[in-house]
Amino acid sequence: MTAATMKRPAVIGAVLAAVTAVWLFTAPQYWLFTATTGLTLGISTLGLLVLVGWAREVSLAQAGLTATAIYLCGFAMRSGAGWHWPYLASAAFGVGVVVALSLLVSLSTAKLSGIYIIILTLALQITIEKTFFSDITLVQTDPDHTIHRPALFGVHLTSDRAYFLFALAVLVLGMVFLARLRASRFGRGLILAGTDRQAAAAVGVSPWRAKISAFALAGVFAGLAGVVTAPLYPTPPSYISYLSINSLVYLAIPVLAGFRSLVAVAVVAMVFSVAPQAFEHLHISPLLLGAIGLLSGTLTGPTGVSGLVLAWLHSRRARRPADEDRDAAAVDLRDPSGGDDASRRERHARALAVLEAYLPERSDAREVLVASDVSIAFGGLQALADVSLTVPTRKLVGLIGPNGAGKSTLFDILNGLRQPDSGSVLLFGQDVSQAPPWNRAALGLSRTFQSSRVNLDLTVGENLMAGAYLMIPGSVAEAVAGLPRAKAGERRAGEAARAVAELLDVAGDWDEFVRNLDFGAQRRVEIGRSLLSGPRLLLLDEPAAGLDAAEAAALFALVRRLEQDLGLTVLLVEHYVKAVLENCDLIYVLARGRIIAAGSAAEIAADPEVRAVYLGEDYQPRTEERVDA
Amino acid sequence: MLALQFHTQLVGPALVLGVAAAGLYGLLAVSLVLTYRVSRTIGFVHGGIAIFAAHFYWWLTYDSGVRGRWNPSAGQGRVGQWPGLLVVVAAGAVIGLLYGLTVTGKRMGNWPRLNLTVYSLAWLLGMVAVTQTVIEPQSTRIPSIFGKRVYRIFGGVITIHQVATLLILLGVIAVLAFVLLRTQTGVNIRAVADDVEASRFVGVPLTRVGAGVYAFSAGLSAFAGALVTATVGMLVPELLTVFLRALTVCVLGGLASFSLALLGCVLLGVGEACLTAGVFGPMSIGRQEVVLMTALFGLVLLINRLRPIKVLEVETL
Repeated sequence: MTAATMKRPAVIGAVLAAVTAVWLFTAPQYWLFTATTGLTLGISTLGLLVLVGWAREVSLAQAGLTATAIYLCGFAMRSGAGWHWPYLASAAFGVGVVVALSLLVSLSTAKLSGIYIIILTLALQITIEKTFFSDITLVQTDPDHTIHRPALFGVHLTSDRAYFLFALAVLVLGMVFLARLRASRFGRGLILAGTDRQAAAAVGVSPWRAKISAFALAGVFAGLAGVVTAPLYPTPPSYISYLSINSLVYLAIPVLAGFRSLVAVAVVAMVFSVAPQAFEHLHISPLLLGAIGLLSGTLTGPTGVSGLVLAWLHSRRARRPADEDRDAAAVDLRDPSGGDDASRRERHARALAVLEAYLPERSDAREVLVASDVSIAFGGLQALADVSLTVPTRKLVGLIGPNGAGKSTLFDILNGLRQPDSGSVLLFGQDVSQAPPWNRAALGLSRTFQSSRVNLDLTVGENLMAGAYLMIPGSVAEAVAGLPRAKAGERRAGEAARAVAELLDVAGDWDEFVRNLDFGAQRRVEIGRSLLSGPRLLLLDEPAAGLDAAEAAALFALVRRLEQDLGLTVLLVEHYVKAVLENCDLIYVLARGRIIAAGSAAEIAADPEVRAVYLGEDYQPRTEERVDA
Repeated sequence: MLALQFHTQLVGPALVLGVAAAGLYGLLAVSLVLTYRVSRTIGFVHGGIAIFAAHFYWWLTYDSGVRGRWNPSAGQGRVGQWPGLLVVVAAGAVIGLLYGLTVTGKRMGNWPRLNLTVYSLAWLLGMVAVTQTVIEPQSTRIPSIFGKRVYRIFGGVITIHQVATLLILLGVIAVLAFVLLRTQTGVNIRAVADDVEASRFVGVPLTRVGAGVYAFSAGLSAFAGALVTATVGMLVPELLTVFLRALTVCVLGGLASFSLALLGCVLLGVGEACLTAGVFGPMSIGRQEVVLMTALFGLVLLINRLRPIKVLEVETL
């Protein structure tokens, strides 16, 4: 980054701050008030961004939750029928109730699909309407007992200008918090769980906990918006703006803005608040604005309008000379015939050393995985019948068999994504038969999938770092505050991610969106993500699928090195039989849901049953041509 | 909060009222189940169509327009109630067809379910926005198309409107069951519901089937929207509450079963009637809603507990 590019955001920020300051001292009171409502809308919809954009869940209760906080906080603050509490206590009460309601919905549907959560949030919204909105003590406009704007830390927020600044400060603090959270392992885990729950579980992220956290966060932001709004009005505002249909307008804001940019959410929220007032003569209905927003946001994809802008900026940046040099270097790296072999070997050796230091202690147990008598049926189809399999430590083990043999199903059971009808699984000596996949990942089991399961809307670097969830220590507070333990963990994971990118030949594409990579590179990124989770046993489901012969050979060479140099145990499913026979120390053959053979490559190749059902009678093994030679 | 009362003498009338009220949610629930089966997404668009239909039906048949050839008796609406109902159903079907063509087309056919759900919500919001911009919302309840007759059964008073709606619902479910089980169209619909990709490979005309299902179910939603104006009027929050109830009854069958949705309709109708009739003592609307909401949460928790999680699904929706 040059000095000029480093200065640019600072200059833009300074200009924006100056414009805001000038506007603040010249704007009419009416506009200050309208802009403040825009800020509170921004705060509430930031919570929805977490829910819709990151966790990929839909809530239809955000308007109702915001209103709940407004009425409860206002009631607690008011004298007369209210409790006359101080502002901070009232605010804590309002936010607390809203978070509790959010948690109630998410906890009761944690394991169910999103349709239940949508229905329950709509039910919650309508219940709020029929209870809080119809409770006269909450919504009454008693001129004798108005709500007074508070003084916080000696600063009186009585004027509209002061209150605008207060709302702006809450919005900015919320954005900083979310930006820090998103850059942490928690944010990355949440986004991964939202994109692909199985992939998240495979690297140690509990999708259920992620969902509950997202709802809690959405509740916090709805509550904050409510408690900032409550003292804005002397008497409680009309509930007309917080009905169920308005929750859809709230939803439109992050959908239109896109999940990549917090600033875009705030800007769109401000536009939604200001536009109907600014263009009053055009009679712009907020509902119509919301509908157009939802429709446009859906059509532009999950990254929304901000995604289009960022992609444009990205494409502009990609044309710069410095990046052209970087791309040239990346081409060298991918091309085995190009570049300096010695320097590449040196880079790979360095990367392996970094990865070795990053990975946890390899297991000393003789057998890292033992599956016994595993059976599962889908209706009348017996997919697996009494399958037993042992993976010895520090070995490369292959699992082959015809299509439909049950290989991926067995992987799902070993990994914990699927519960078998019977049988047990021991991992590093522990019985994990009932353990969810994220607990197995915590023990050191990671996996990839048959089809590429990376987040196409994130960069290579972001995808790789998403895998490091379990390897970075520290709580949410430590991560957001950037305390030493979390910071050091992030740095260590970042170095390991760079090393993995180097090993997998995607280092040159570090800042590239995965969507723009070829299929082979996407597969490598997925393997890299698994490596970043700190596995002691790696399950690779058809890692060479979709790769050409050279890429597959390079991949197997790398897997072999991981096993030999780092002592990583690998179990892989693969249809590229030649590579399996040439590289694996032990091979299992699965056919019609049963293990029909197990042994070395030579034994498997000579097995008559294997030849009959899978390899073919004419198969000629050429084990002397090792791919990694 | 809740008084522990139980008035046995009110149970009979409440049961009758509840069963009679099932039709109110049932038609919308059938639409939701039907489109969920082919798309695996909640058809929020049906809520929009029902709200649009309620307003449009009011505008056609009750608004103070010109005296028309088809409304010689009322003298208030632009057309009579039966032609108005036909126009509304046709308009709903056309909207459903347009929607179906977009979501089953090449561009959106493979979209993630979250995007399709948000797209459906966009249509709901769009239709409410357009409807409210064009037609002033009214709290009026439109007289029933089926007349004013009432019946007294086991102490409960039910209207001809409720009886007719319930009979229509049963008829629709019977016809759908026949079509789904006995015709090629039904086989195609079930094939799409089971596996979109596989049905594409075996030659099922996906767009035609999908758009057809959406058109039919949207017509049904429009029909429900028009009928519901006689019971709850045409205010958006009230209509959305009916839509929520319809969604709720579908939960029982995981949005995939007509019979369980029908059972859900009856259970919800009876539950709601018991609360309204005061079987458990007098109760405010807010408290009734809290009780129903608690029951819904309880049901979802029960599903959460009983349904064995055999595999962790990829998508959240």
